[in-house]
Amino acid sequence: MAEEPVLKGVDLSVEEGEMIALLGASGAGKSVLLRTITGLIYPDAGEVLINGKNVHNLRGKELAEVRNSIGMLFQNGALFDSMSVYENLAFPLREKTSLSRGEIEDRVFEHLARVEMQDAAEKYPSELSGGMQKRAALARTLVSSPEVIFFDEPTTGLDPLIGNSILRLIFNLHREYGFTAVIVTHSFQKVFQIVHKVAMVHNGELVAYTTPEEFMDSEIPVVETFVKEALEGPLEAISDGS
Amino acid sequence: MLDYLAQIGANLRYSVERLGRFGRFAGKMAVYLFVPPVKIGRIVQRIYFIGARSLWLIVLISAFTGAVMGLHGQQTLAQFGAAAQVGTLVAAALLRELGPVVCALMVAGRAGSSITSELGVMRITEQFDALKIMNLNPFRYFMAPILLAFVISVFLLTAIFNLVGIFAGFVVSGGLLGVSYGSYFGGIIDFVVFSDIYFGSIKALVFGALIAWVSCYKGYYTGKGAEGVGAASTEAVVLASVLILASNYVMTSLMW
Repeated sequence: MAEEPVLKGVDLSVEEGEMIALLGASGAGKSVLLRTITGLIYPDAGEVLINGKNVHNLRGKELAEVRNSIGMLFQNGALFDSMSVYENLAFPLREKTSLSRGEIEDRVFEHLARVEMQDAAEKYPSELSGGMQKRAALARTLVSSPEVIFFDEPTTGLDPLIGNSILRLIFNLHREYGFTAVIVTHSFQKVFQIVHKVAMVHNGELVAYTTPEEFMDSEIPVVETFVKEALEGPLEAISDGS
Repeated sequence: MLDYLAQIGANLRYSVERLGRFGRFAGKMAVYLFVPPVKIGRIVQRIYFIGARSLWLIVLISAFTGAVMGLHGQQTLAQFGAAAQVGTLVAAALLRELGPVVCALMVAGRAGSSITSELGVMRITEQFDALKIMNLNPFRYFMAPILLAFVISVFLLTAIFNLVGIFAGFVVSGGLLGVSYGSYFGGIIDFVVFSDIYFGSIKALVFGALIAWVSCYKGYYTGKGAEGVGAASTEAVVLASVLILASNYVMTSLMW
């Protein structure tokens, strides 16, 4: 049986401290690309280098080193539902560091304060709204001080106001921490205000990688259509066959 | 024709790969049991859920099982003038077969399906991926403690099942049908041998490991959405039950 590759010919490099947006219609291969970059999916061919090391060839300590340098904000937060918000943040610190109980508590509340969630520390994920879950998940991602953070559709499922507040939070935290960021999204207007570069995936291929301004003025047909459809209406034209 | 053969080959390869994955999964669960530090808190938490919260169900089922054995056993043996041996019959049947098997089937239905659902939801909500990104191994934090908890719980619950069943058998055959305390328990002491308890215990340990293996595997590799999780839970109970009964036959034929 014939197997159609999800990604083909994606060549992308992100500089330290940069924030890029990864765009594309639903089913274009953005999330698969993100999962491949983070090592959750092994590619049949090609390589992913983080800090110069091929993620998919690493084992043991070297893999741990790379994994410890990255963080990811999942589309639905992926908070551990059997743990409170506090426990969700404390868990990686307790398991991966030699910090004392007091130090962990300080660090957890410091990060909860950053996302204005200190009052919800004892709540469980099921007791939180979608926006609060995203903020708690963002705090959990940041608590381990990763150098690179991947954001998978950070505003999906949120109303525009909450979505904007999440993006503002990401922007402010990026300025404060200086991490490298890759934001996967299919709605780009707001994201364009905070990213340095934009990459677009279409049918598993990278069709554009440029600044937001150049992207808006691009004459590449699929990019033009994407921008036009995104500004004017649904993405039906571009998502056909993707 | 070639297409047909290719399809058969592809299906065969898929089945072998799935079987290999199932086997590797068991190996990883076992290996992570011995990776320090042991997660005592998580193991105790699981034993409470799997063992303590199944206790009343097991007591209830074992009481009825023992009672029915006492009733039938007394009536059947009375036809041969051996009604006094009903205690031996009840104890031997419970210790060798019914105790470990029925107890394991109950635990698979109650706790096994629940574990599959829990892990399945964790899978579809990307919680295992979150663990991996944090460089924390799901096998160490979830599968290994669940394996140990099932083994310990099924072992202890089987012991309770046997004790309650034997006493329930006495209540019926002694209290209602007139078999004396001395002949009921005397028969057990005279005819039940240590190997009955020993082999029955080994069965309980194996069944506990089987339930953990199947429940965790089905949850970890669940299908998509709520429907996938529901299907995985059902499959886990069915597969665990089949494996319990099949392995029981193999062990019985090797042990006695």
